[in-house]
This record gives sequence, structure tokens and C-alpha cells, in this order.
Amino acid sequence: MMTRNGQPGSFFRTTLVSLGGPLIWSLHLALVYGGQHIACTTGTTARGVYWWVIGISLLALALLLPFVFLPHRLLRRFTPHHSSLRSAHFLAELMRLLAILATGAVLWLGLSVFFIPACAALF
Amino acid sequence: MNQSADEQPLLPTKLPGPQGEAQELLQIWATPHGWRLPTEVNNLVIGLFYMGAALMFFVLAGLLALVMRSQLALPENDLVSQGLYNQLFTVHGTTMMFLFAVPAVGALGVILLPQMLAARDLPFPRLSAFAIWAYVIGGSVFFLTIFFDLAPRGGWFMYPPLTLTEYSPGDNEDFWLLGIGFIEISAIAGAIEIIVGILRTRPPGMSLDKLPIFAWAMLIFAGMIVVAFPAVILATMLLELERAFGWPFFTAAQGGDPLLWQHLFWFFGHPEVYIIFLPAAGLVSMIVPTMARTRLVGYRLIVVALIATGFFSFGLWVHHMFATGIPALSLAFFSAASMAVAVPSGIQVFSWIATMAKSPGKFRVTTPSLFVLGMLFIFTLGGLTGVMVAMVPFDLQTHDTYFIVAHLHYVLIGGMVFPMFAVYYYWAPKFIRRKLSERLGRWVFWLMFVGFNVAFLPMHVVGLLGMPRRVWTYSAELGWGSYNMVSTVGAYLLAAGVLLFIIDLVRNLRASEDKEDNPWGAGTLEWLPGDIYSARSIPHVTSLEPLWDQPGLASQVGAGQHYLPNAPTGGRETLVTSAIDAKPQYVMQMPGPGWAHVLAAVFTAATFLLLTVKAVIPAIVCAVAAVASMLAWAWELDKGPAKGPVEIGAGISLPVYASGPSGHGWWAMVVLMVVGGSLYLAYLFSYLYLWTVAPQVWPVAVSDMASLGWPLLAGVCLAGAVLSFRRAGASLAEAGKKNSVTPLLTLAGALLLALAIWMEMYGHWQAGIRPTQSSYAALIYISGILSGQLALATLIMALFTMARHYAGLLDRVRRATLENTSLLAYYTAAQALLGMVMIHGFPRMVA
Repeated sequence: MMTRNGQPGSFFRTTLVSLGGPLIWSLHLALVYGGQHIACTTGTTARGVYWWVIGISLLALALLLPFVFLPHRLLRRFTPHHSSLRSAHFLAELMRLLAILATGAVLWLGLSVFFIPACAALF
Repeated sequence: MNQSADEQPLLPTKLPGPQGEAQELLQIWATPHGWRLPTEVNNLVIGLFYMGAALMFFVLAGLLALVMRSQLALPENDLVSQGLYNQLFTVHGTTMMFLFAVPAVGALGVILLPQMLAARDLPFPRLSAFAIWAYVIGGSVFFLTIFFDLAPRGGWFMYPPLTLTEYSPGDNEDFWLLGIGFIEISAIAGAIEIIVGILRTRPPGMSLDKLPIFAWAMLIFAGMIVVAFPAVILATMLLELERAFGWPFFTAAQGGDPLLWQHLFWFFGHPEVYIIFLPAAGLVSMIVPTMARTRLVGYRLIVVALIATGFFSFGLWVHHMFATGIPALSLAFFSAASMAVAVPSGIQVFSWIATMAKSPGKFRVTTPSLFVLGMLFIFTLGGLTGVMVAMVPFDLQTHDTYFIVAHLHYVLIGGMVFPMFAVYYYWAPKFIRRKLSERLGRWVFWLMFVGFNVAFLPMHVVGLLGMPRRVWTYSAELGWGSYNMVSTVGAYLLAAGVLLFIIDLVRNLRASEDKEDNPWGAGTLEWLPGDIYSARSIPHVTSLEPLWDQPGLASQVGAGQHYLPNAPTGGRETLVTSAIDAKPQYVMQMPGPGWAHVLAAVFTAATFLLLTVKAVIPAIVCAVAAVASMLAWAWELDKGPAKGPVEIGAGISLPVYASGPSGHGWWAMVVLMVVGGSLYLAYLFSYLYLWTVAPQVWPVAVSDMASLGWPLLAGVCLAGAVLSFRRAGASLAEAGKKNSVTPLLTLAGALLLALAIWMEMYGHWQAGIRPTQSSYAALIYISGILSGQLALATLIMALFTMARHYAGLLDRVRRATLENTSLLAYYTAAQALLGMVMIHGFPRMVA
């Protein structure tokens, strides 16, 4: 696959890294919900569910940090010929703002584990 | 290329240009007349047809709503029977969601995108036309079922077990499953077209930071379709297989679970709301700056909001399942996501308000503006009730009541229908050459706005009073009568507004020559002077609003002083540019009118409809005819490099052909593989979900499973298939020569792929596993079916590739056909391998 700027290899890498924030949020939701669902149906302890959710959430937040604070560096790292991209600054700022939104969503979701029982249904 | 496209181009070119260029374009892009009209593929013609069909379904579904409102106006009314009422609300919801909302938005994409991108057309015009014909035929047959007591009765979301054969005998539910499944395939075809169109056919200079907001919205819309629709396609496959052959995916007694349907359906169904809303929001973001005569406030933030909404919308599906007994913590996860999505939605609303406030003069209150303001009011109210129902305790109180009916109509009519009417009034001058009446337009708006609120506001109250959804009638003693009467009066007012709009539209459809190119003074490219071939020449873009920032651009483009002012290959063509920075790469040769794609649509629709009524042999005959038509259509696509390179203006010379990762066909194949991947992920989710629900039907010992010898042999065949295709690509002959090894390797690769999947399924059969035994058994055969259908497609494409080789249309340069077939083969092999690892590995791991 060609990787010169403007070619698909470059495009797909640039897209993936630009969408890093929401992609991490998606994986976080899938792992947290999937893990909790499996744990509750197989009878894992509530403590196990708590640590699973907390652990995955902390990992997601750690992964999001560079997208929030170092988007330009990440874009340079993952996109060949970054300097020749006309829209490099736009993409980096896009990456940062998306990651900020994703960070809020991860926190919002992860914090629920402190207030609600792990496996009990409401009725 | 003589001059680098990165440099400032030598534009505009000097006048006078060569004589007859515009005439040549008109001749090449002329619309066929009379009985050949259905063969047309140009986006303006088929897009208007598409839009007209969507509007027709909107009116038809609206008429069904009026019948329902008439029935509910009085307590204990007997205007329609209970059975017919069930069919009415099912067809109303299904038609509005699947036959109006998504197609109407898709139609706008087909009509507007090439204009906004100053492209001559979308990259696969016949694919667009195929999708539209398939939708019109399939949708019409589906809607007609209401007149023959054949319409489905299970609600637009078709929950099992109600929709299983035991509780819904007959063909009614099958019309939904096969009809809607088929229409979703048409939507996916449109989405592929839109993604490749936006990424590869932008005008030079239009890098991603200069992409119009509507194009961003459509890119996300199409991406969401590609990920979301496969889940419901899988769900409809599973339900149809259970109804037709008794494979127990949703029957609890055999390890199935009705909640699996809800997971799959709402994984599609909730993003569907945003699939409808985001393009409408994108259109509002185009109209507001024009009416405010200033730039959109927060362009970057709006792009972020669109992308974030697209992602977050996939994390909300369980909020439709709050009342199903799922653990409270799971509900909290989805409740959090449901509230989080309000943030990006709010960003857009505040941006529009800020743009209006920033207007240098007074914000122009025209009919399109009124519909935008109406949308802001209605959608915001719907959003607020959305936050209310995102809270689990509140949702449990209002679940399945008229409060939810009110909420969803505020969101959908506010978020999609009002913007759509703004669009009709705003872009009418572009397509019917004159503005619609401002005076009538204001009447239309106020009738619709007042009518809507009178109809749906009382539903919040009657819902809180306890009136459930989908009830045919109610007792007078419950005290709901007056609220329902008011709602019915509102519904008729709303309908009067729509009727007045149709009258205005028909009045103005007469041919007119008094066209004004840019009557609103907008800044984006769709307002460039042009004709059936789109813009006269393709401009070099340097800003978000080129018509505001590049003085004289409209007249230069109209005089043919920018790129591609003519037709250097002598046929329909457009520029292909790079995906991020829109640098010119090659000139794409496009197909013109033809019958093959029309016949393909007719036969595909016939296949699905015949299957619905269990006419298997005629269905197979139609399927063969559909495939033959598709191959005839595809035969003309790969036109080769012979006519290039060509001069496009400003001293730039480009090739007329590209294959591999640069070619637009390759990109479409990649998107198609994402569709396949989404479908298979939905399958893997189903597999694991049913294991957690009913592990007792999974094998308890290795002896209950197929021997590992079969999958190992199948794995060897898969590896052989991949190697064969790789070698076939390497063995291609020089142009003008033939190589007997290439077709043999291609055929061998496809046959090995098919053999591998047959071996895998035969292994299970040999072990005595039958798909009707349990959900586990049914699931392992589904994996084979999913990969098997891809292997069949690969085999057909391999035979097609061989035929092109023997016809001298395949060589080392002209190689796109083989490359696309190989891509599909590689994907199929990877999916089949993953499936085998899962099916043979997972039960052994947990046994």
C-alpha cells in the first residue's frame, strides 16, 4: 500500500489517530459493559466488577491524555509527511477536542460504579 | 503532471477558451427522453426522483397517521378494527423511518453533494441509480401490503416473541423482514457512494478544513450507516431464519433470547435517530450563515460535535431497554452515555444561535429561516425530554406511554422534518429554477408549527396520565378523550400545512427560465452557475465560503476558466483528488445511461419479494437474472488508461485511470469490507451474548463438537486461496498480452475459498449438529452462511475477472477488477478464519 501523503495508507492512519478519543471511548464502553455483563452472569464478585470498571476507566483516561495534551506530536508521529498537510492544524485541534469530550464521557460512565450495585437489577 | 498541483495554480485561464466546450458538455450529459428516461444515472435527475419518492412516502405515512388520529379522537371509537390499527402503526413507523427519513436524507446527498463539491457527479452513478430503483420498487410493494391485509403488525421494531411464527403466522411479518432488509442494502449502497464521493471527488484545494458542514454531516451519516445497518440486517436474517426454518435464536426454551433482537435492533435503531438528524443539522449549518450573512460561528466545534454525536450515538442503544431487567449498573453506563450525547448536540444549537446573533444586519426571516427557528424550538424540547427519559427512574414511569410518542416525534419532526422543509424552500431555486412562494411558505410554516405542537404537546400529558402506546381505543372513563381530540385537531392542521406546501411545489414545477444563480447570496459552491453537468468548470477552492472570499469566482467558473471546462476523454468524467488535502490525482471516466442497473434493481427486488411469499424457484431465477444484470453493468466500468493523460487546465495534465489504493473502486471495496466487518462483529456479539444467557446449550465436552481436522483442513485451503490471489496479481501480463496462469490462479483461489467454508460446515454436520437443535447449533451455521455468501460473491467476481482477461480487458496496468476481487477474497478468508477460531476455540476454552 502506498504511504505517500494523500494516499490511502496515510489517510487511514491520519483518520485513526484523529478519531483516537472517541475510539478509546468506544472500546472503554464495550469492555466495561461486556466485562460487567459476563461477570454478572457468571457469578463473579461485586468487588471484581468494581475493579474491572475502575481499571479499564483509568487505562482509558491514561490513553486519552496524550490526545488531549499532545495532539500535534501524535499527528506528526502517525502521519507521514505531516508538515505538508494543509489541514494538519485543523486535524490536531479536532483530535484534542474529541479527546476532551471522550474524557468527559469516560469519567461520567466510570464514576457510576461508585454509586450503584454491581449486578443487582432495579426490579 | 506538468505543473505541481501543490503550487498556486495558474487560474483563471485566459479567455476566450476553445469554442463549443459548453455545448460538448451538454451533449455528453444530456438526459435521455421518453421510454429511455429510467436509464439516466445523472445525480440531478435521479436525485430529484429519489427526493420525490421519499416525499411521496412521507405523505402516504402521514395519511396513515391521520387515520390513526381519527380513530383515537373519541373514546371507544370503531372507525378501524384492532387488527388494521396494528398494521397502521407498524406501516406508519416503518415507512417514516425506512422509506422517508433515511432515503430523504440520502436523496439530498445525491442531489446536493456533487453541487457542493463542484463534481460532475458522485463516483458510482449507476450504484446510486440502482439503490434508488431498488428502494422505490421495494418500498412501494411494502407499502401496498396495507391494502391487502398483508402488512406486518409487530410495530416498527418487530420485537420477538410477538413476531415469531407461533404468535404472528402468515406472511405479514416476512414482508417487513425481507422488504426492509432489502431496503437497508440499498441504503448501504448509497452510503458507500457518499463516502467515496466526499473523500475523493472534492474540488482541488478543498482540504478537510474547508469541507462544507453538510458534507461533513453526510460523511458521518454514511459512516454510521456502514456500521449500524449491518446489525439490523443480521437481526432480520436471524428472525427470518427462525420463522422460516425454526433456527431458535429467539426462543428461550432452546437457548435463544428475545432480548438479542432488542440489542441488535437498537444498536441500529438508536444511531438511526442521529443518522437522520445529523445531515439535517448539517443543512441548518448551511442555511443559518447565509440568512445571517456571516460565517458560521465555531466551524471546528461543529465538526467535533458531529463526529462526537456519531460515536456517542452507538453507546445509547440500551436506553431503549431500561425496562427489561438489565442490571442497574449497566443501565447507569448507558444513562451516562445518553446524557453525554446532549453535549455535542448542544454545541450545534448554541453555534446556530451565536451565528444568528453575530449577523451584521438583521437575521433574514425568510421561510427557510422560519423552519430553522421552528426546528430549534421543537428539537430542543425533544432533546430535553430525551434527557428526562435518559434517567432510568423517569423512564420506568413513562416507558411505552404516549410521553415517549411525544418525545420521539419532537426529536424526529423537529430534528429532521422541519429542517427538510427549510431545505425545500432554500434550495428550490437551484433545482426548479425559482423560489417557492414566500407568502404561502409562511402559511405552510405556521400551519405545521402550530399543528405539530397542538398535536404532540398534549401527548406528554396524556402519557403521564398513563395512556399506553399502540392502543387501538380507550375507555371514556379514563379521561384521555379531550387530550386526544386536541391532538387529532393538531394532526389535521399539520397535514393542512403539508398539503399547502405540495400545492405550492406543484404550482412552481412548471419549466421556468427566470433562474437566478445565487438568490440568497450564499457562499458555497452549489450556487455556482452550471447546468445538468454541475458546474461549468471545477474551481480551485481556497476557503470555506469560496463565493464570498474569491471575487469573480462564479463568473470565472461559468466561463470555463477553471479545471476541466470540457470533456477531454469524450465522455462523462470528473476529477479525483486526494482524501485529506484534495490534490488532483486523476480524471475519473464515468458510466452513462444504461438499462443494466435498472434490471438489476428490478430482479433483486423481485428476488426478495418472491422469497417473502415462499416462491423459491422463481426467486432463484430472478436472483440469477439480477447477478447477470450486475455483471453486464460492471463490464463497462473499468475503462482503462488509453485516453490519457489529459489536460485539465492551468497547465496540469492528469492520467485517466488509477488502480490499487489510488483508485476509487478500491476505496469502495474497503468500505464494503467495513460493512462486512460490522455484520460479522454483530454476529460475534450475538454468539457471546447467547452463551452468557444460555450456557447450558453450549457443548459440555469436546466430544460433542466437530473434529478439529475439518477446520485445520479448511485453514489450509484459506491460506491456499490467499496465495492463489496474490500470485494471480503478480502474474498479470503486459498490456495487450494474455497469460493463461492468471485466470487459473484466480479461479483456484475462489474455489479454495468456497471449499474451505464447505469443509467447515460439513465438519459440524458430520458431528451430528443440526441448526434447529439449539441456539448454539444455529449460531455456528450462521457463521458459515455469512462467510459462504462472501465466498459465492468472490467466485462470481473471479469468473467475471477471468472473462475480462480472455476479452483482453485485464493486464498489468488495467488491473482494478482483479484487485477488487482479491480484496474481497482476503477479507473473506480473514473472516472465515476468525469464525473458525471462535467456534472451535471458545467452547473448548469454557467447556
